[in-house]
Amino acid sequence: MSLSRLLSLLLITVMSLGVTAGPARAEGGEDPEFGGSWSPGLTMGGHTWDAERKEFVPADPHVPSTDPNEYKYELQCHLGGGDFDTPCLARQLDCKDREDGAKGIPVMWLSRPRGVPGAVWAHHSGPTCLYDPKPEDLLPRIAADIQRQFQNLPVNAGRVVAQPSPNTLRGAETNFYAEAVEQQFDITMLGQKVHVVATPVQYTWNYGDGTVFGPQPSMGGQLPQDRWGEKTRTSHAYATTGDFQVILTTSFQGTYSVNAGPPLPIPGQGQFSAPPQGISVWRSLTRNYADDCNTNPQGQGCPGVGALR
Amino acid sequence: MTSQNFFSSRAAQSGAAALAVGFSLMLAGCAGGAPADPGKASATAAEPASPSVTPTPTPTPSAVYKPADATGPAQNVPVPVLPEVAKTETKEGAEAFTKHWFSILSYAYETGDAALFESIAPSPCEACQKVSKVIRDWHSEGRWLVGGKLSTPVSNTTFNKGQDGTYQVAVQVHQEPLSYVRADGTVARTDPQTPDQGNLLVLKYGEGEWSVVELGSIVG
Repeated sequence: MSLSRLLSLLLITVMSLGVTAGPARAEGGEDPEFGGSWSPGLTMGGHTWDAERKEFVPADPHVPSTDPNEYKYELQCHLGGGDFDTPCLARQLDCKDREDGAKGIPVMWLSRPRGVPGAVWAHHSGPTCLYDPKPEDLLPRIAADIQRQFQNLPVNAGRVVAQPSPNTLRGAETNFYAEAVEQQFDITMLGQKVHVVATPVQYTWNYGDGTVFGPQPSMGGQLPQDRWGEKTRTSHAYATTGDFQVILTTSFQGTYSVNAGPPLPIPGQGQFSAPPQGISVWRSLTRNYADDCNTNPQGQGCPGVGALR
Repeated sequence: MTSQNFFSSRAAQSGAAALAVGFSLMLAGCAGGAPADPGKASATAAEPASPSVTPTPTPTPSAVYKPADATGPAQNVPVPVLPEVAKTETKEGAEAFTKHWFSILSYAYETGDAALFESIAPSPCEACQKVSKVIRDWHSEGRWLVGGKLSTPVSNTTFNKGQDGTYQVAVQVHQEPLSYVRADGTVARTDPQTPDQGNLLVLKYGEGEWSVVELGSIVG
């Protein structure tokens, strides 16, 4: 073992001659870090094609990112035209016909990056089953209707929380934040099982006094009680007293997958509003209670002096 | 798994590689599998010949490329050669250089020799440093990587020179799923297959060669 160790040290020394740094050594028996797959998108800013400038520009960080890929499917084992790959057909996915008699057809999903001119279709996933007499144009038909379906889903825009509530003070920063979560739905479209995932991405606050903030990507956050009154990204200071109805509108981005196929992006966002949340804005007065009621019987808090409000 | 066995198999391998392709590949051979499990590697190397009943057993030429698999790291990985056109300040040159850049990265995944990749990676490049470190760590102490090979089906540039003298190249990048194999041959993890990515390389041409000044992803 000692010879082997010595040799490996020697080899590493030789290797180090040509490189900038020696290899990092892990603790005995422990795996080094994973995450070695190439993905510059995780650490580096994304770019989008600017048609006017005819070049790629850094993506707007305030615009929620969309799926960088586009998708399609092909009949499994289909070679084009009327030709099918016979050996492939022998091991084709067995899509059992449904109880209602709809014929199951196995398809393979392909994807390609949208932003690369001339990008080629590459295998993405599958096979999965579609149930339709004309599976070739099933996806376009679903895609044409998915936006409307999405907007009609009972998506919960989230809960509105105000700090303090239900009463706050005129001129003070009232912290508002939303509690919105990803939601999943199963619907049926054109006889296919469609699974929809809705993810909250943008928030618009209508504070009820004519002020609208957003759409913007922050849902805000909770403040500990000892920090109430601080200005936050989503806080609002009412200029007048009264009762206001605060309405949160949350924009959701969605994906849909057809019969357990890959999640496909739903174009556009769905807007969903939360039920109005009432808040009462009061004024505060500062009074001096240091008077001596004997010398100033009309002083605040002295017996017989009117209420504060 | 004796040191004697280790010594002979390694020496033979590196020597053959060096003879065949040159010094740089010998380094690659070392980095690629320096402390690789010798028992497994030699056992599989012998397998095709022993059960054979053909009268003329053809010995495997030592310099034959063999991709990494469950039994050991890749062998005799050819060092990517920069095509002549990739040295020219032309649209074709920029596109060819971009493809070459990814073949160098692919070479690092296969061999564990990340030096060449690091020499052409832009700075700073967080993603480059990350993969470089993982490649080095997982190609040391007997570990190796399987898969991770990159290909670039499409490389495309408008060849419009920017104000700062750079060119943008959009490239479709495909990567085989990457598996991390421990020295004992167990697979620690396999990264899921990801869809082909769109990457953006910002290139500069100077002194007769291309270099990458910036790198990013294309998100739409």
